[in-house]
Amino acid sequence: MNSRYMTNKIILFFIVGTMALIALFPFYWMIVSSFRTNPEIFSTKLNLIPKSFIFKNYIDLFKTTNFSRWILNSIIVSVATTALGLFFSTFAGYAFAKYNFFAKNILFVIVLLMMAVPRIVTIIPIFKLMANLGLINTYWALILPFAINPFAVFLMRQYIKNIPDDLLDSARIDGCNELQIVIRIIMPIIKPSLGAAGIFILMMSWNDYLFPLILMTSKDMMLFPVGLASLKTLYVVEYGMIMAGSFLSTLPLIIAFLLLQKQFIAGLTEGAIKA
Amino acid sequence: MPSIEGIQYTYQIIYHKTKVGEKLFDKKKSPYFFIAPFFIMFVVFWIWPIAQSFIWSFSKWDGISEKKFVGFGNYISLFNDNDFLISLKNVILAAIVYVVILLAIALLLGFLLNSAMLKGRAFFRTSFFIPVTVSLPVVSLIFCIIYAPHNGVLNNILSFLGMPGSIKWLTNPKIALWSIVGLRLWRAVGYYTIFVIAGLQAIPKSTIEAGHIDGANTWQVVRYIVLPQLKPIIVYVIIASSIWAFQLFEEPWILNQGGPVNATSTVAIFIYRNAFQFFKLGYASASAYVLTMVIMIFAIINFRIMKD
Amino acid sequence: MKKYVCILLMVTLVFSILAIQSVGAATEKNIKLTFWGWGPHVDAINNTVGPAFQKVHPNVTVEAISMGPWDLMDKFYVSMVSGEGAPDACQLVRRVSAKYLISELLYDFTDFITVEHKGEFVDALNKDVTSIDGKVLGIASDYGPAVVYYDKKLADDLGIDVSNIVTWDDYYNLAMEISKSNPDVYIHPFFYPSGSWGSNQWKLWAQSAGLNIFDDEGMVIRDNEGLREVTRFYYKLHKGPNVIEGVVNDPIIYDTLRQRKLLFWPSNSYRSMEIAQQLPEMEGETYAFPWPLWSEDAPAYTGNWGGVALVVPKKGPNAEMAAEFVKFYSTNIEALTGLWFGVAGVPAYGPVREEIMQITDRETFTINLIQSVGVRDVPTWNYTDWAQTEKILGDNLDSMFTGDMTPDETWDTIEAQLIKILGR
Repeated sequence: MNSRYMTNKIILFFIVGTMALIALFPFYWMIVSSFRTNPEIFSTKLNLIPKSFIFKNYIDLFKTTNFSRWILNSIIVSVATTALGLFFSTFAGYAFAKYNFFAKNILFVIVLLMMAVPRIVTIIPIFKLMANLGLINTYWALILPFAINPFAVFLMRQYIKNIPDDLLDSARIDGCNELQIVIRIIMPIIKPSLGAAGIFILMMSWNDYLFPLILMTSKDMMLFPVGLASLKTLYVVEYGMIMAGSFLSTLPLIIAFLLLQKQFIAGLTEGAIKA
Repeated sequence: MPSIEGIQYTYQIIYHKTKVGEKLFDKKKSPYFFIAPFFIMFVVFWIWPIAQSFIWSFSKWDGISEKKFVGFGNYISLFNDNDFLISLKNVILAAIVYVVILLAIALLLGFLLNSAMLKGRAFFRTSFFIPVTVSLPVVSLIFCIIYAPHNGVLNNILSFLGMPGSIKWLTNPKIALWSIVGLRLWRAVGYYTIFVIAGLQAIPKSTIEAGHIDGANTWQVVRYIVLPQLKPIIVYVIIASSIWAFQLFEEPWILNQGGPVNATSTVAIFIYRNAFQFFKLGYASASAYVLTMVIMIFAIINFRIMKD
Repeated sequence: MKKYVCILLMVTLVFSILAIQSVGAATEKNIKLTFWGWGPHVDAINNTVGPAFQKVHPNVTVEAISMGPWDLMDKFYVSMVSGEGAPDACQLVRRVSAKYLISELLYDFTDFITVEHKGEFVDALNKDVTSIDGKVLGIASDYGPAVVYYDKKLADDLGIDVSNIVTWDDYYNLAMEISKSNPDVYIHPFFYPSGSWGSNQWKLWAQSAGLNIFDDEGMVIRDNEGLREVTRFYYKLHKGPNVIEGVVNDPIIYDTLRQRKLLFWPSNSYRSMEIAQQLPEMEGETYAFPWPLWSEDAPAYTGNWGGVALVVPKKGPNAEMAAEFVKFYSTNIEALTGLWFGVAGVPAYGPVREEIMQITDRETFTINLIQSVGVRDVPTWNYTDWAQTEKILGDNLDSMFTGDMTPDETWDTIEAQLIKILGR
C-alpha cells in the first residue's frame, strides 16, 4: 500500500513537473535573452545556455526610455481597474445570481452579447466618447472601460450561484438587510472568486495593448506594452530591451498572483455554513 | 485627517440610527441598487459605442468622407468575400478544438494541482500561471524562435528525439493554424486552471467526506459530487475561452500577418485590416457583428447543453 | 479587504487628479510641437534637429515621441476619424499614405515643393505625396532605392567580378553557374511566404522596368505583358538558383550571411542598416553594386522600397509652425546626413544628396552604397489602394511559388482580382 502510494506520488510529480517545464520554457528563454546581445537572441542556433551575459539591455532600457514611468502608469491603471472592477462585478453578479428582478434575463443576455463583440470595433467610438468627456490622456480613459467588465460579472454570478439560498434566508430572518448580507456574508465566502476575478481583471488590464495605444497620446502617459512596442521600428528592433522590459513587467503580475493566491487557497476548508 | 476607524464608526452610527439600510436595501429594491452602478457605466462605455459601430455597419464609410447608406449591402458582400469566409472558417474550427482541449487539460491540471499527494503545489500553480503574465508580443516573438523551421527550438528537440526536424510550423498552410492554437493553449491553460482550483476549493470538505462515508470511491465522488458543483465554472471556462478564441488576433497577426495566404487569418485580423488599413469602417463593422452572432449562437448552444 | 479597497480608490483619485492637471500645461508664448515618429528620426529630432530649429525660432520646442510605424498609423487614423488627438506633425509610411492625403485635413506643401524648391526633391517621390486633387500634402523626406548587396570576400573566392554584371540576364546566368559548381553557396534570399510586406520585393523588379500596375488615373492596366514578364522572371530567379528561403526579416537569412554563404542580396538601402544591426562584425565586408538593367539599352532605373511622408494636420493650433518645422527638417543637412549614416535612408532633397556623395572621410556600413544608388533613377510608381493591392499581390505570389499557378496565370489572376476587388 505504501509503496504503491509512493509510486503514484512520484509519477504524479513527474507528469506535473514535465508540464511545468513546458509552461516555463519560454519564460526562461525570455529571461535568458534579456541578458544577451541582440544578434545572439536572433541567431538560429539553439543556444539554450547563454553565451554572453550582459546588463546592457537593462541599463539601456532605463536610460534611453521612459520605462519606469511606463510601469508606474500601468500599475496605477491596473490596480484602480481591478479595485473598481471587483466592486462593480460583485454587486452586479450577486444581483444576477440571487434575485429575480424586472428584465433580469434580458439584461444578462445583453451583458453576454457585449462580451461577444470584438473590442477592436469599439475603439473609435470610445475614443470619440473619451475625447468628448475630456478624458483622453488621463488614467480614467483606461480605467473606466475595463472596470466595467462583463466577463467578471459573469464569473461572479457563476460563483455566487453556488452559495446555498438558505444561508441567505437565515440571515434575512436574523434581521439583516440586503446590503449587510452582501458585505458580511457573501464577501467573505466568495474570497476564492474575488481572487480569481481580481486576477482576471488585473491581467486583462495589465497586458492590454489596443486601448492604451489609442487612448493615451502623450509621452508621459504611455503604458509599458505600448512603450515596449515602440522599440520595434521599421528598421531596428531592440530585442534585448524588449525582453528585459517584458521580464520586468511580468514581475508585478507574478507578485500580485502570489498575494491573491493566498487569498483563495488559505480560505475555505471549513465549509460555508458558518454563520 | 480623520482615522479610518473614526469614519467607520460614524458611518455605523448614522446607518443604524436612521435605519437607512432597512429602508433602502430591502429584498425588492436591492437588486436595482446593486445593478445600477454597473449598468449605468455599462451603457455609457460599452453599449453606446457598440451601438454606434453597429449603425456604421449599414453604411460604406472610410471614416473621413460622407457616409453612404447601403442597408445590408456590407453583409451580403461579406458572404461573397473569400478572405472573410476563410477567416470565419478558421476561427470556428480553431475555437472548437481549442475549447475542448483546454477544458480537458484545465480540469485535469486543476485536480492534480489540488491533490494532497503532490509536493510543491504552490510552486506548480505559479509556474502554470506564468505563461499568461508574459505579454503577447513578447510571447509571439519567442514562439517565432521556437517554431522556426531551421534550427528552431521545437525542430531541434524533434531531431534530437530522432524525428524529422524541419517542420515548417508557421509557413505550412496546413499546420500553421494549429501551431497558433498550440501557442494559445500553452498560454491559457494555467490561467483557466486557476478558476478550476478556485472552484474546487469552494466545495466544502464535509460534502466530499460525506460522499466517501456513503461508500463512494474516488471516481464516483468526482463524477457525482465534484463535477456538478463545478458546473458553473465549467460553463464559464467554455464560454470565456471560446469568446477569446473567436476573437483571436495578436498571435496570428504578429507571427504571420494571417498568412500564408489566409491560412491563419481570423475574423479579428479581417476587421483590423479592413478598418485600419483599407479604411473600410462600415465593412469591418459588419464583419464584427457577423462574428458576434456566431459567438452568441455558440454560447446559447452551450447554455442549453449544460442547462444553466 | 474593504479597507484596502478604500485606500486604493483614494490613491487612484489623487493620481488621476494629478494626471489631468499635468496634461494641459502649455504657456502662451512658448509653443511646444508634438511630432510622432519612429526610431532614428525621433532621436534625430530630439537631439539635433529640434535644438537647431530652436535657434531659428527661440520660442518653439519640439518633442518627438517614438512609436511603432503601424501603431502610429492606427492612432493617426483614429485621430482623423474622430477629429481629436492628432499630433502637430508626424511621419507616415509613405507607400500606404495615399488614403490620408486629404486636402481638408492636411497642410498644403505644394508651393514649397514645386515652387520654392523646384526640381530639388525627387520627382517620383513627390507623386507619392500628392493627393487626388493635385496638391502636395506631405514631404517625402527619404527613400530606399534598391541595390544588390554582396559579400566581397565570398565573391572574390568564387572569382566573381561584379562589374561584369550589367543586366539581369548576366546576373541570372552567373547565378545558375555558381549554383551548379558550388551547391553549398546561396545566391540570394527568397522571401516566402511573402505576405503583403514581401510583395514589395517583387515590386522592385517591376518598378525598375519602368512599369506600373495602375495608370495615372488609378485604373488597372489591362493585359499587362510587361508585368507578366516581370513575374516570369521573378519566378525564374527564385526557383532556379540556390536560394535561402525565409520571411522578410528571417534570422536564417542573416545567419547564412554570417556564415559567409550568402553571395548576393537584392534589396533597398535600408537593408544596409538592418545588416549592421544583426551583424555588426561585418562592417566593411558587405559591398553594393548598382541594380542591374533589364537590357543593355534599358533606362538606368531601380526600384524603391520604403521611406516616410511628413505630414501636418491642418486643424492643429500650431499648424503653421509645425509646417515650418517639417520644411526645416526635410532640408536640414545635418539631420539628413545623420539619417543617411544612421539609417541608410537616402535623402530626397537633392542638395543634401550631392553633399553626401562628396563625403570621402566617412564610410557607411556597406561600401559603395551611395555610389550604387547615385547611378540609378527611381521612376514613378502608382501606389493605388496599396494596402489592399499588396495583399492581393502577396497572396497570389505565394500561391505561385507553392505551384498552384504558373507565373502567367498568377499575373492574370492578380489583374482580375485587382479589377474586381478594387473596382478599378
